[in-house]
Amino acid sequence: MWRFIFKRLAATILVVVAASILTFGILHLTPGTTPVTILKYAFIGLEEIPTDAEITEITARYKLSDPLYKQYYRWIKQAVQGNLGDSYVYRVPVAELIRLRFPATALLAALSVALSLLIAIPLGILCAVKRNSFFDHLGRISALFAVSMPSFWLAYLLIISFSLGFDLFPVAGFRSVPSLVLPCVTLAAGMGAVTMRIMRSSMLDVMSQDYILTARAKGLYETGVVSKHALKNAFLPVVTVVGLQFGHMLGGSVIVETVFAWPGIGKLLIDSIFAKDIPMVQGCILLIAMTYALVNLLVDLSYALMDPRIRYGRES
Amino acid sequence: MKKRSLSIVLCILVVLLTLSTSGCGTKAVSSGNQTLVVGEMWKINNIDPATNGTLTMEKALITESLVGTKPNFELEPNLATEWKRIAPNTWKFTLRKEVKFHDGTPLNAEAVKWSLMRAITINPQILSFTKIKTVEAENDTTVVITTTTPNSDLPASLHYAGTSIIASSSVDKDGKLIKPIGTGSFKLDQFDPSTGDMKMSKNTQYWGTVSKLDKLEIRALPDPNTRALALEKGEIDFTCDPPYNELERLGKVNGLKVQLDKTARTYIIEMNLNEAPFNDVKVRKAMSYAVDRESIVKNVLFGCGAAAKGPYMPGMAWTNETLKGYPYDPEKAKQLLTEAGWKDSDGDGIVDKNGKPMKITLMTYPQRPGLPPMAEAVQAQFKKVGIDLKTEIMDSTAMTEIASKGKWDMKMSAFATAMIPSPSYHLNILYHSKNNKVIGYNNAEIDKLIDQCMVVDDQKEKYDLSKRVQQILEDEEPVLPIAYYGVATAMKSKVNNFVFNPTAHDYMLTNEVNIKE
Repeated sequence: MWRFIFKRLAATILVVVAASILTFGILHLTPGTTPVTILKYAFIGLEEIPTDAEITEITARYKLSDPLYKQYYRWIKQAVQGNLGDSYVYRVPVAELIRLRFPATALLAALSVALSLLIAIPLGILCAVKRNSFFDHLGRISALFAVSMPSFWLAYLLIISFSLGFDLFPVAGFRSVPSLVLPCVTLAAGMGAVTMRIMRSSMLDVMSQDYILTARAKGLYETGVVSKHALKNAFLPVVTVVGLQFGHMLGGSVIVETVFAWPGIGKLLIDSIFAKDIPMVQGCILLIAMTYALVNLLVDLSYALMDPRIRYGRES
Repeated sequence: MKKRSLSIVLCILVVLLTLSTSGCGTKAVSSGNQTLVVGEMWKINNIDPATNGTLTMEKALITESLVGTKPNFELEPNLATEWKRIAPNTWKFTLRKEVKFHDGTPLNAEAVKWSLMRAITINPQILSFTKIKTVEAENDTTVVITTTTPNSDLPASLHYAGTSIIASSSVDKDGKLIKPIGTGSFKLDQFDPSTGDMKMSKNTQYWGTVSKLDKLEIRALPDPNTRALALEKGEIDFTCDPPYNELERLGKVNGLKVQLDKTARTYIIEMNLNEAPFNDVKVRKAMSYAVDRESIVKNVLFGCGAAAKGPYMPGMAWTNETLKGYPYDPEKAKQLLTEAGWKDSDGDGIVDKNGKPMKITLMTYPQRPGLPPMAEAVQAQFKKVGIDLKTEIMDSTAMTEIASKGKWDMKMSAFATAMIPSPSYHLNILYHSKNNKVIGYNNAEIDKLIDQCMVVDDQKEKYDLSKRVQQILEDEEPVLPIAYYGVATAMKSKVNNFVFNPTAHDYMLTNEVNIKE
């Protein structure tokens, strides 16, 4: 078990380094030369024409005329020493900005995933158990709606009805507990719909297995069959999907962060990509790659908890 | 096992219940003392005046610059009461007496020196505007500034928000900004770097009229729809640029008012003058006549802006108000195209010359929401005179790069015409042959006039030279001016005495603004 964890963590480092090299390369392939883009986004304004002196100054300041491998080496050398450098645009340490933004993202991710599970799991089970009933159809159609609705549209609808109409929650911002609700619901709707569909189909799959037949033949109550025998087995694919969703949420959600003025990491990353704020982008990618790998590891470990047949680190 | 999972579910339930029941929004409270909550249109990550001076000087009213401007963009005293050129490269600025920074220290020549030197080290743009070489404190109230080359725009460039003055106590011993400590009518109490929210309180020691507001709060709400909704809900009192298509509805909402003004920025279409057909002045004029500017302002910009006649909007001290512009006249456009040899000889609705149809591409970028729909409107209008225009929306840096490689036809942007309030600055960077090589405009007379305009000291002469350049530009039409940039401000009806300042980049509050319940 521990060996497995250790191996996976070592692999995580490889993943993170690979991700950072890829990001670094791709950033230099996007249109716009780096010094001009930085100037426009950080100093002179989007529509201004940079002078040659300004370009020279920025190129020299950030050593942008060095070959790319040198620039990357300089970054990774600092990064392994725990220094992510200063952002070109915000001119403050990258680590500081991430530290300020990540908690809001993590909170939103955790709460929205929790909310989606709270709705999707019972609904998915019920739909499976009462297959092809009116309830099942209703649940599936609602899920289809929830997953098809663009999140910005849902966000505005929620604001208009629950904030303007009923005056229950603030429109935007990250100030109080109530301000969490609308962003959480917006994100949970899409995720919950997917989880519910997976839960339902996985449950149906399990319910048709022989051991369920056996359990029923033994004369167990239907609730016992469902909760004791079916549920645990049906959870495996759900956990996989939820793990992916959670990892994805930890990377921030640009639309929800924009509409609700949420100080998360998604908008920070997108803005930095546009501005070619290389240290900032690298810092965000580093964090996102690490959390993603970590969440996946936790998901894999949870398999072993749920299914005694799965054992890690031992030759079978 | 079962118990534990049950308790986890219960915990989550409890958390969610408290979340949903403790509802009831956080409204902007104005208990007795007057607080104005502003919904800011950009994300706030940085409150350094050297790179985000527009925020600290024009919006938060924390910092001030040496030189001020009147609403017609003429310079006026601010922290400096007078200035004089004493040698071609040397200027003397006299500082206002009895001005104190928010920390109580006096504004003196040493402080100004420190602040200006800091600004030019951080932001290369300020260095290129001001061309500052040295700043010396001659005595307590006299600052002597030398420039690397003669720069008659030095006073105008010292109006630029990036040069606004802060005390040296604004930074720590490593030179890192703690918070901007300026001389303005509000002092910064609190800045939350994660949300970008700023809280200011009135500077009772202000050298001018003390603000009628007690507190000023700025909240960053980058999404225009969210700003409109937050204003409707009452979370903010004042905001700028809600979605253009919402303006009419917002204006009718009880307790709200909407105001439309113009600012020193012009929507323009630049053309690749090195290539056919744009090297033909008749074609350029035809295109200008083919654009229905009034309709664009009314239908695309929802009335936010005005049809442009020349590079500068009316009301600026150096605007040539006698320009006639190019009123919408598709017949004249067709006639000019025919004169230039462009005729629809194969009857496909597209004009052609020597067997080649006129097919051109117009690039623009989405960061200014008016631009993409404007490009589509121009496309439809060009079609009516037989020009086949294709539009391409891309990031503005991508557009700049494509244009700099020389393979392009037309690009549309919203260009600031008074980054620094000088009659030559904008003409110089856009039309002088040595500066804007991308569009390839080369007119020796214009170059000469602009050069002259930049060196003369007499303001009236400067304005006259600028007006002459504008006249030649109208005759030659190397750039198509489309519309003057409109700014929409929306606020609660109880916000009183807000007068729009056209020199502000987005909006600027004054000390007269107050709240009348």
